[in-house]
Amino acid sequence: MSTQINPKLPRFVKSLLDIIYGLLIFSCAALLLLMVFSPLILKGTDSVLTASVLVGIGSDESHRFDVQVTDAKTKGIRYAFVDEAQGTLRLETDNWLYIFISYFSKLLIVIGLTYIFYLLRVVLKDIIQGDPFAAENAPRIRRIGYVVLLLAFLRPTIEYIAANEITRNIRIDPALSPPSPFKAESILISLLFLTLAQVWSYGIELKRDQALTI
Amino acid sequence: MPIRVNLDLILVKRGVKLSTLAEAIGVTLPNLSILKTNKARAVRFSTLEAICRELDCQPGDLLEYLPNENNHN
Repeated sequence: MSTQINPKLPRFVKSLLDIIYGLLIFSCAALLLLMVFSPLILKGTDSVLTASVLVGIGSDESHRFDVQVTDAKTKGIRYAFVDEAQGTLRLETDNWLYIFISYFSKLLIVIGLTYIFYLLRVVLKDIIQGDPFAAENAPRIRRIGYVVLLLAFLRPTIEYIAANEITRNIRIDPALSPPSPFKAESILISLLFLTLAQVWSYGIELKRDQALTI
Repeated sequence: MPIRVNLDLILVKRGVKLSTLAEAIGVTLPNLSILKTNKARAVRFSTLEAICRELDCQPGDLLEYLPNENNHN
């Protein structure tokens, strides 16, 4: 049985993956260089760098931000607020610690993403070469699932620590607090990859059965 | 594996080389070698028919069930 696969689609997807992978490698290198050389950059007079960190607006964990409704057409609105208000706080600073925390948290995440895209490229390369069920691909997809799961917990934790470290030392109006530490979507994506890895393992087994059927 | 393939015995009895048989039945030598060394997971009826035709034997001459191996596994 031969399967008709459009060769252009996997190649297009691989091109996209190659571009994103290249950008991630560049980002890793740039972040690493900035982290290493930021003390030298900041030594210069009036030199500042921008530290950015994800924060929640509001001092409590729900990150509720009250808003004032001034001209509501519907008179029934009595009270309004933005729930789970979050954003990126950017600080232009010469404080090397803030810069380090900001870039270090991003670097860990970018390294994780780079590894995920590296694995995706390798799997797609096998698909393009006509051997999607190569024995190594199921462990690769499983590894993607584990890295996504790790990032699902690691990324919010790092962002939480970074935001906590920065916001506890500054007073801003409105009050800022560390962001929500948990992202459920990443857990779901991780489970999808881990499930896919199981299906892929089964496919590899079927292929092996077919190869050893004389 | 509880099913043993006695292809090597039949080949010796008939004085036929593995490569000759492979060419005659249209199976590659590596694949026939997999069958001979009991590494195959399944055999198609068409392959079995071709081997029996070339070696003038019955499927029962080629395949042997070993119940002791099955119990052991």
